[in-house]
Amino acid sequence: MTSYLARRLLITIPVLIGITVLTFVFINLAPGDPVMMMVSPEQVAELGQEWLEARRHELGLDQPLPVRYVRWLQELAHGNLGYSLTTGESVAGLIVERLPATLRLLVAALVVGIGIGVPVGVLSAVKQYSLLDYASTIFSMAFIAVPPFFLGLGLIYIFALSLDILPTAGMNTVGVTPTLWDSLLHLVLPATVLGFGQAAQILRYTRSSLLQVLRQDFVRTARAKGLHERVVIYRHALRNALIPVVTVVALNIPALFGGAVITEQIFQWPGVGSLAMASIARRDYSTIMGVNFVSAVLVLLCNLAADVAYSIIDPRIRYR
Amino acid sequence: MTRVRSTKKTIYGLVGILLCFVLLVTGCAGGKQPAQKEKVLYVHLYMKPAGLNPISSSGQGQDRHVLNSIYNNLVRLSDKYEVVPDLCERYEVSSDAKVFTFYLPKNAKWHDGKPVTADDVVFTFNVMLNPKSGSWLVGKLSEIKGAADYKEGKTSQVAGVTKVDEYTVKVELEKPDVAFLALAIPDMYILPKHVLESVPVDQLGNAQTFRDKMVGSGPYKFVKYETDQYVEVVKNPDYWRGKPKLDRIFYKVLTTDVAVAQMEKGELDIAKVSATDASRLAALSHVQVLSVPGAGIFQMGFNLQQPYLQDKRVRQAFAYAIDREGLLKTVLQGHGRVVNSPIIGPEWAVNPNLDPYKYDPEKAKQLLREAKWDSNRKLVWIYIPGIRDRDASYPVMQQQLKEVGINVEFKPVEAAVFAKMYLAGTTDWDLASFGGGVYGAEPHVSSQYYLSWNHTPKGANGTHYANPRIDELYMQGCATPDRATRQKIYYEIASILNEDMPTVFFWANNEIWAVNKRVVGCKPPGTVHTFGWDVFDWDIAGESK
Repeated sequence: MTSYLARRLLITIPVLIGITVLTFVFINLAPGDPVMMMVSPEQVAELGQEWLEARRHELGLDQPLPVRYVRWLQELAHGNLGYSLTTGESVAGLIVERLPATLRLLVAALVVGIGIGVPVGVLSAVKQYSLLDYASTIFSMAFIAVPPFFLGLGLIYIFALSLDILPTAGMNTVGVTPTLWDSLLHLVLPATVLGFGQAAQILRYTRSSLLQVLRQDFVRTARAKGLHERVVIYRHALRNALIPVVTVVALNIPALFGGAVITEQIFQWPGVGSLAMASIARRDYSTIMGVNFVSAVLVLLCNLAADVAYSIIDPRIRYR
Repeated sequence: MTRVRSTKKTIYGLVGILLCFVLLVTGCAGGKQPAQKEKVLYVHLYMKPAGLNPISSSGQGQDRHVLNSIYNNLVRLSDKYEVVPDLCERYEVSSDAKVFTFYLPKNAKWHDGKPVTADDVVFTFNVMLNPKSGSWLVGKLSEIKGAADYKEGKTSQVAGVTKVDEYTVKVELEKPDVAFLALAIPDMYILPKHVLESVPVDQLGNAQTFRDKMVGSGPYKFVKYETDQYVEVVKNPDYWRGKPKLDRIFYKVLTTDVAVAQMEKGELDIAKVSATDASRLAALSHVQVLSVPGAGIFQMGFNLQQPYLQDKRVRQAFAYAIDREGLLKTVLQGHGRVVNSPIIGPEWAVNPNLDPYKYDPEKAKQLLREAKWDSNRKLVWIYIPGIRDRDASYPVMQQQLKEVGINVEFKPVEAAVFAKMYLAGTTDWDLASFGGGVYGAEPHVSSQYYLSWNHTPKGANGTHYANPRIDELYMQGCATPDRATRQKIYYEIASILNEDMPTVFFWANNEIWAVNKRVVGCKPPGTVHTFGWDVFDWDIAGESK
């Protein structure tokens, strides 16, 4: 197992370098640069080409691409993710600033997703073709199809405006010292928007996986032994059915980390997703590279964690 | 059977817990507002602040919303585009429009208690003209005498800015330009020398630098910026003009949809809204909707380098072929006004006798026939997509042009690409439409787009229009502060451009503001750039809903 882990970790290094090279090339290919993005087209004429060139020189943008990339890599080797080209703040600082918000939303969405998806998926599989099964199928289809923007605004309209029981946006009420209760209230709607999407996915995977497992011989054996149905399902069948679910959750974590952009926009949630979006729009190359790098590391780590989890859950899978 | 009942029990149990949770939530949902004794105002920021740095991000409207309450400018533009003194008791413009003298108030103080003097003003000019500071005003202020030498490092101070005495500053320009007062000075926030002189110049433009050095002289003090969420400012009780009436202002960053929702709930007091939201909000009893004439123009420029666009009859045909009044009513619900020249304000400068080019497709066809227009020719029209009313009008315009025999092919491009194409002075486009600008603030603004020595890529004259009479008139117009003379000049300019039509002017849209009726003394302007000019006068009377 240790040698397996060592091998996996060694492979991540060239993979990461490849990812960063591709990212660097693509963002520099896109038209525009951070300096152009800082001003409106009408202002560009006013400021004059020399002002633009001077700022470009300051930011080191007039160097050739390979030189800039190597410099970035060198800084990274020293543990420095660089500085934002638009605000000058340290990229690592920017990401860390956003981490609490992102983590809150991520954990809440996963709790809602798994908390709803797995139990309902299990019940759906166990009581296949029942009313509950059809209801959950409709639920999962609906929430996979509904775009988060529509869902978010709809929920705001119903719960925040019409019923007035939840706040509209933000992480805390502006101007008041944040209490746990206040934060939880603000978390409800965004977590619902993200979580229901997660739940819908997890529900489908749990249901179909459990359905397959329940048809296996060993389940029939367990039943024949006279075991309580609950024990058969939860102790024997579910553990085997969870393998694809683990994959889905593990892959969703990095997706939620930097991908909940739309939800973050609507609820004004200062997470990493909106940081990524804003830095792309502003062509802030350093921040884009930094966020991408952290995201890539997270993806690779989550994949590794998922693979290790398999070997724990399923004794048939062993790594040499 | 046991197994069914236990599953049902679990579900009922969970539902029960959920219900209890919901009840608790409903019960505790109140009590969100801060202590009732404080007067707190909530203002909408339509975009995240770019950096809240008065040197490098003061070009952004949303940053200015906040900076206008923390800092002062020597003069500001009112909602009617009049120059009003801010950090000065009075100002003087010399008769040759070259020298501007500002008399500072003697009791103005910085937030840390030190007095505001002419040294601070001189320091500010020098910082704003230093290219290393990242100041975006370097271009606008370059008309000051000695600015070029200072930029190249030949002098350590800008020669044209002089301290006359402790409370008087004189600014001298290289060439006469009375528009300098309305266009450059209001954009410059006055900075404290004693706080910033120790900071290396190249770090002044950094957003982080200003987080803990936001010492201004304005009616409100900076408290904190919760990144991408809100900015908080608190009353400055020692403000030199008197005590501000509000205790605290929160500038909240929200998308427009959420802002409208919060206005309905009474959680937001002032927001800029679109024409479609305006009608919905006007129906509410606690909100008033103000539609203020804007300073920008939605227009389409012809690339006069193309030989087939050089006949002015062809260009006039465009204006007759497009139903501008009709489109304004449909896409903007009438929140705007059709204009026929780039001189749309202030009021004294607007020529009332211009040809209105009323919608007349027959006249358009006739003009095209006279000009021997080839209706098989395809024209490339570039624009930046993203503004609802403009995007909605393009298909209609295309149809209306087709009816008179003009074929246009639209090419939506990203802002950076548009800037490259339009400002490079190339011939890969025929028509280019855009909006914005501050034409309504000063008639001289339009000069940069029509002077013959300002052709792209050197300047902003994207159409490459060249008319020696226009050049002469513009130069005369900014060389005297006398309003009567200027009015005659700008009337003539407008009438020439109205006939030559290097650009088809569609309309100047209004800026629509939704203001909670409890807000008193707020006169929102026609452009987001100057919003907050009257922040000192804002007050609250009554409840928010």
